[in-house]
Amino acid sequence: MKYNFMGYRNHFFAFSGTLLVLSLLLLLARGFEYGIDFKGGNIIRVRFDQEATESKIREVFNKMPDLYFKGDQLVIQAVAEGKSHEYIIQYPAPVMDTAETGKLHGEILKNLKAALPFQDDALEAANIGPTVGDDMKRQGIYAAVLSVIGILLYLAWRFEFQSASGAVLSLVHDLIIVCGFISLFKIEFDITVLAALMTLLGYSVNDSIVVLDRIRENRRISRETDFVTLINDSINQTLGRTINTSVTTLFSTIALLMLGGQTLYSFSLVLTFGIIFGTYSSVFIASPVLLLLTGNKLNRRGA
Amino acid sequence: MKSQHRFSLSVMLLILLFTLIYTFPSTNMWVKCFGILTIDEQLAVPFRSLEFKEAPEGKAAQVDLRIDSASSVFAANPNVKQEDVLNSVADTVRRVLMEAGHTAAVVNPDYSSGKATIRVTDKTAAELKTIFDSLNFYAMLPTAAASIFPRSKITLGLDLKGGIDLVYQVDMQSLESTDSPKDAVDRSVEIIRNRIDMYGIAEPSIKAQENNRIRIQLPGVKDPERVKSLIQSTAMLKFHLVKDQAVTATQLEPVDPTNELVLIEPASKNSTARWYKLKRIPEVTGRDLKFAKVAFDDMGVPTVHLEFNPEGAAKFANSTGQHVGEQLAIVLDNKVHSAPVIQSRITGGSAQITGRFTLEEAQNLAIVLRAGALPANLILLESRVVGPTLGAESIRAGVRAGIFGALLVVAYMILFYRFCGFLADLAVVFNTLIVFAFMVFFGGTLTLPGIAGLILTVGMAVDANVIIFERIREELRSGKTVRASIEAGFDRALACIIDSNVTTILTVAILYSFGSGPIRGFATTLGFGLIANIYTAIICVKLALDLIYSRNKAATLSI
Repeated sequence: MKYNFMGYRNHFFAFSGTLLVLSLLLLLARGFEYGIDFKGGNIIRVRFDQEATESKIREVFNKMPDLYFKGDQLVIQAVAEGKSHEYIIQYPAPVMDTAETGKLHGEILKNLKAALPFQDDALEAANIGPTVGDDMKRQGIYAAVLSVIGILLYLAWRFEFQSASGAVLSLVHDLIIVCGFISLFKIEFDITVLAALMTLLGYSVNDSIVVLDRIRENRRISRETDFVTLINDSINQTLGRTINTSVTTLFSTIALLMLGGQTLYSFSLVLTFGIIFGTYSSVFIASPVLLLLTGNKLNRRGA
Repeated sequence: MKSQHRFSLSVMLLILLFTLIYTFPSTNMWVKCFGILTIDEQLAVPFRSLEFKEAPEGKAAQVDLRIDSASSVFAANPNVKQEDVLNSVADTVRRVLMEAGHTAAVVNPDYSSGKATIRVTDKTAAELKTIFDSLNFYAMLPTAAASIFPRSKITLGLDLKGGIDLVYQVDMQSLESTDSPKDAVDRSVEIIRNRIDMYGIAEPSIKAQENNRIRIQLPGVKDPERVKSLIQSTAMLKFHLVKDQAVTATQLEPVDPTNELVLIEPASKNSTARWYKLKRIPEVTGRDLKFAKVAFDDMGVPTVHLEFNPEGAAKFANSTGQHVGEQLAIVLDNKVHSAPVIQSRITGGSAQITGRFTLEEAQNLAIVLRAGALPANLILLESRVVGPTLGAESIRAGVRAGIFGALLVVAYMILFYRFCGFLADLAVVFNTLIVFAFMVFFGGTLTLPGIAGLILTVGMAVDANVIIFERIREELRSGKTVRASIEAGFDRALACIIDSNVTTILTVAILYSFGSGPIRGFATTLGFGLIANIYTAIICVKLALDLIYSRNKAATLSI
């Protein structure tokens, strides 16, 4: 059985184009909700010895003088499986890092413990100053840009420039749409989400390579003279692999999503969505772009 | 068997052996075979030297641990201190007993004579011995057999085993003008290390980073806030003569900034805040200290006892002699601690800082004064505290998810590719083993994102085999024989697999070099996994297929 993927390429371009525009608009208008890794901030996850309530926790903060943030900037969530014992408390980072704020975090914990006792081994707390957040953002952007350039160069060397562009464009396409997804669903952009995006970078290219590799090979050995048909054949020949790999990888990420706990939740969510799109784009974007850049001539030398 | 196959098979078995040797010490099986205590500890405190008896009070049982000072451990390595070993053995024993639900405490440790006693309440001596035997502290197998295994276990990150991770900025603006900024960071690192050593935390990591930053990682800390205050306090101790004092700073105007200094004494339980006008140049500073320790006054209230070096003692005697009847302010980190009146000339070079201390505060102050003052203020940029309980839960969740995902993948592969799928599953298991062995061998740290990387590796590892198997199926469909299809399938998939793995390795390498902490953990396992993947998916699976299908000249392939 053969599917005519290439025949509908303009439909898919239109579909992707729409998603891209929507994602970009979303990113421009709303952007990300950065987690404390990137914007700085403070988070306390604590399991109290007894049941606690949000208002009791709020009271502790209200009683403290000289806090640099306002009461309504305090976010308190009960952990779902925590049976009213376990809470996540967040408050913003100060405008700049000073020696005093470090002491303040200590004071907050001390007051909290005095009002609502907890064991230190059931405490998780992170205080990230604004400086570190900016550094992380810069690091992340550098890493992403460098990776894209590195991949482009490597593929241009192993294939040729048109295929490399196809793979890289579909990769950028995936990243933008996944970022749009993150923005749309207000997934907190933290370090694990960055890791997920970086993984997708590798995964998406990996997926495109399999198809491009088959096109490369078919250009060399196939008797087919029509480039569109040749590409379509290549996609069909690799379809079994494309589906099986997506399914097995999705097994891993969905298992993480359901059982990995709170810490890995956004990581696996982004990854799951990204893998679906990575698979889509390797079939519907990478190869058509190659066609677009090469023109409908079957140039066997290029292979 | 062809000689080429024989060679590949031997290499594979060697690698398998290597991975088993390197991963074994990190498993629970190791504890069953070779005990909870390290082999060195078992040699230093041998089981036959343990004495089980009733506690003197008659209500509890106790076990006396005794160092075997003739042990080969000490002869082999003169750097190993007997008291450190005893300390760590006693602590492990106490911790394990507590975890098993017994109330255990270390009493009367006497490190100089190499003896420590652990007491367990509500147990008889015989019961304690039974408990002791059941807890696998000591090896069942001969300890000599342990010597073929590496001494190291896999290192767990702070997010998994609990601990604190701190990043400080050394505030260069707060540096004294006479101080050279060049080595301020290195000196700070040195002083922090001294303080932490005196406090006593196992395996601290204190490192200078770029931009005048210091990263401190302390596993298994029980009281994070106390440790933070221990690190952060500059501990700049100075003694200034008091010129004037008032309730508000404005009452002390005018101030001559070249010779005078205005500082606050913060409010306490018994008094309100006061401001002091001080002579700017201190009489004596903490740099002239020889020693600081906790002492108790007549009322049993903790105080900090200071001893000056000869130079400091002379300065102190001189200045107190000249200013009898005046107030001398004790200034700690630019706050007046107290300002007692000088009663008489103080000779002998010692002084007490009294009042306002809890025992804990006094201990901290003594430690920081003894370790020396930090040259500059530290600004806390980042702090992450993970309690061991939450860390353990994270491991459980991650591992559970990993096993579940892996099982699904394994089942899917067998369902789709039959026997070949089973071979691919074996390859994935081998791949995972290699990653763990690499982690131990290169001293990598396993973190929660690291576990995620590992799970992803499983997904990507399967992919390589999927590509190959699909290829073989195609070749079979085109009418080739089983042997030819296997050959062609691997041959044609090779370029694709290498290209896709190399691009991902490329991203991982960039991730590793740019990322910090959590990102690195992820990049490490994924990177190792991908490298291992190229080997296990291509070479090992091929070898297995070759061996099986060349011998019996099978007409059909289970794929």
